[in-house]
Amino acid sequence: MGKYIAKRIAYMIPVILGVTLLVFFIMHLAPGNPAQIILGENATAEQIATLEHEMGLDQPLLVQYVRYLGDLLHGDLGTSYSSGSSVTTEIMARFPYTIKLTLVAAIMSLVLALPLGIIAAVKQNTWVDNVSMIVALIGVSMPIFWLALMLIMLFSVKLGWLPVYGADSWKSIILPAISLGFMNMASISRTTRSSMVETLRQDYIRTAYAKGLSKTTIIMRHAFRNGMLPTITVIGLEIGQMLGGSVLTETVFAWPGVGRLMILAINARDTPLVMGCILLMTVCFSVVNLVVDLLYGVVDPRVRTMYR
Amino acid sequence: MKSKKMDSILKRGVALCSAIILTAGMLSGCGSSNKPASSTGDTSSSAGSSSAATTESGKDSLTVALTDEPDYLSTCEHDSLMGVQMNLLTYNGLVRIDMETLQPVCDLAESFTQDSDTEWTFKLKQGVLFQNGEEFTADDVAATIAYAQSFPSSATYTGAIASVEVVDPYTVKLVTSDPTPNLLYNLGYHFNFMLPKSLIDSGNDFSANPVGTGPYKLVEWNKGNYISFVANDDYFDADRKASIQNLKFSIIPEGATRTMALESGDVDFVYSVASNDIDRLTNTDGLAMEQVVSVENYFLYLNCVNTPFADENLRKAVSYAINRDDIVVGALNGYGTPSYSCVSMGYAESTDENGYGYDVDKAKQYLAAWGGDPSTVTLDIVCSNETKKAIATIMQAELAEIGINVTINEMDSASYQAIMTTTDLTSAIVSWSPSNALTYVQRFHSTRRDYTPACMADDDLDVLVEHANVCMDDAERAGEITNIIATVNDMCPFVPIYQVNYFRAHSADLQNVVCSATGYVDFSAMRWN
Repeated sequence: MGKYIAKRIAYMIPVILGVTLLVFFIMHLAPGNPAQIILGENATAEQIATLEHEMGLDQPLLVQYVRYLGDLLHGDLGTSYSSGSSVTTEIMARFPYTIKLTLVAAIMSLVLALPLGIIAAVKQNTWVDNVSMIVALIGVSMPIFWLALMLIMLFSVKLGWLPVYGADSWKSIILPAISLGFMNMASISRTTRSSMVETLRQDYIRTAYAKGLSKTTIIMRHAFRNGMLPTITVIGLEIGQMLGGSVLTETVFAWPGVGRLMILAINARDTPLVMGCILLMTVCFSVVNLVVDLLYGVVDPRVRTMYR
Repeated sequence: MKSKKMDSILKRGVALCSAIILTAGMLSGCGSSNKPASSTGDTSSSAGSSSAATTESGKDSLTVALTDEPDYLSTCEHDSLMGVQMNLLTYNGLVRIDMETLQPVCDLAESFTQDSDTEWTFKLKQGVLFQNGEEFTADDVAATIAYAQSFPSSATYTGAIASVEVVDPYTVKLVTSDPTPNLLYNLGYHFNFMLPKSLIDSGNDFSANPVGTGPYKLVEWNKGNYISFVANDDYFDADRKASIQNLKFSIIPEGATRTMALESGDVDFVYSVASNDIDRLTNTDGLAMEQVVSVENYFLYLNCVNTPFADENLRKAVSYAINRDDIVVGALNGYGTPSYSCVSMGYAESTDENGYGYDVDKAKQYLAAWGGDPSTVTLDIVCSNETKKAIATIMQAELAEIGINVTINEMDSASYQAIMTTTDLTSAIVSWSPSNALTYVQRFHSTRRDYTPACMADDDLDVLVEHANVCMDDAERAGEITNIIATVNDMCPFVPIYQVNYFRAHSADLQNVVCSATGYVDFSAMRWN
């Protein structure tokens, strides 16, 4: 198992390298001169050239990239062009908010999605199934932006129960987490349902019924556990995505997460900050994928044999 | 049996959920309550710590919704509206620009005298303390100006100062390289806000630790979230001392959220109201709306160097063919002021003489005078946001009437900034809002081509601008500036479109709200009723 984890972590290195290479070159292909942006419109060509030299922007792209990687190996993500602060500081000021929102949204969505998916599968083609899947369909198709505004209008403006925006108290996280979690809840419950429906048709389930096991035992121990693999994949993807920042939710609720930071950085051509945010997203995705793969082994003993 | 019981539980659950959803839908669909918590004095609200739902009497905090977060709280590393707004809280200059008259008045200076065209002596107020407890003296003035001059972006505001002589601890003499009538305005600009010499020498990070003499002190900057300040009890100007003790600026990028935060009482002041919500907030009980016609002028910048728009007649044809009223109604929901002069109205020197109203017949006459085939001309308009795109779309329809084809070229602000420093564009929708008319007309000098290479250059105009630039007689200079504006209008180097109307909404209990035409708000003057 340890060897497997080490191997998977090693696989992350080329992924990170590939992503940084791609983003670095794309950012440099985009119009906009960082030195000009920093110095403002009153800067002369000479001043811009001097700053470009100081920042190493006059070097060939490949040299700049190699230097970036060198700094990265020393744990230095560089300095933000826009704020003059260290990229690590900028990101770490916001990442805890992103983690908090992701965790609460993920818990909310799982608590609702799994029972909804299981019930829909067990009660397949009944009104229960139809209602569950309509709720899921609404969740998948409802624009998150609209849902967020409606939640604010109801719970903050009309009822006055929760704050409209911010991240200062435990109450502040409820609405952003609901709006973010609702969409994820929908896709997780749909996946759970399809996978459970497939599992419930298997011979071993029929055998379990024939053995006289209780319905609950059959569903939870035999069907759910075996039907979890696709669901775990979807959960992993959703959490990975949320950890990378949820721009719309963060924008509507003024939640100070990484997603908004990255959009601002892209607009300002703040290459070091964009690189830092993308790197964080890549690591988050890779780690979540690793956890998902390890969970496969926990859920399905057959997968564990592959680790050896 | 078991299955039936489960069905029954499920049915009840679904029915309960449906009832909750329907009730929620009905509640959210009801009309606006029009009663923000801040005006009701309702203390029962549980809407977060920043809620305005506290009793107004004795209230000592103000929460402001900002659209953007400043990149810096220091004075010299930015030139942004939000950055300056924050600087006004923590710093002072020798002079300040009065928010109502836009004229410079003494601030940290007790008085000043103009000894010659290039020499100015400033007597400083005594006993003024920086927020670190040190006394403000002439040494700080010399250190601050030298420090500001080390930033290239400050050149417009500090470049004219050749030397700073410390006469005594409370007297300082500034010598300019040329006669500089704008000196007082420049000293009131944020680049020249006073900093303690000791902190400059020690390499203090003025963005993280903004120490000035201002009416407020920084408490916390939670990046991406909020910036909070507390009143400076040692502020030197008793008349302008802050009456609200705690000030919090929350960063809320989405317009609808800002509006709802004000309605719910979570914030007390919205710095920038989304145009869709202006009517709603104006008609809401307990709220007040400030509307200011700003000096921020939006115009259609035309490449006068290497496109057909180098021809004056073609530019005039475009200007006559555009109906500014349509643009204000169609793109701005009616919330803007049509502009017919190349320099905003609102300065003492402003004039719309030789301006261009909407007249399609005249547009066609100028097109004929140009002599070309309009169908061969494509006006490619660079737009860097949705409002500009809406304006360009209306222009597209209007210019089609005189046969000019318009294409809309959307790009993000960084790309837009980059292309504006080249001649690789035909036109763009641009805005500008300098604090005084002289700074405005300086942009018509051909040397501005260093910054905007595709702008117009004219030798006669250069002479007029150069003269106004060194004219120290106020009345004479005002006349010259007015003359320059009329001359520029006649040349039509670009097409003025509209002046921005700023909308600031706030709790009606907030008094003494002063919003300037240059975009700033005087938070230290505000008080609760």
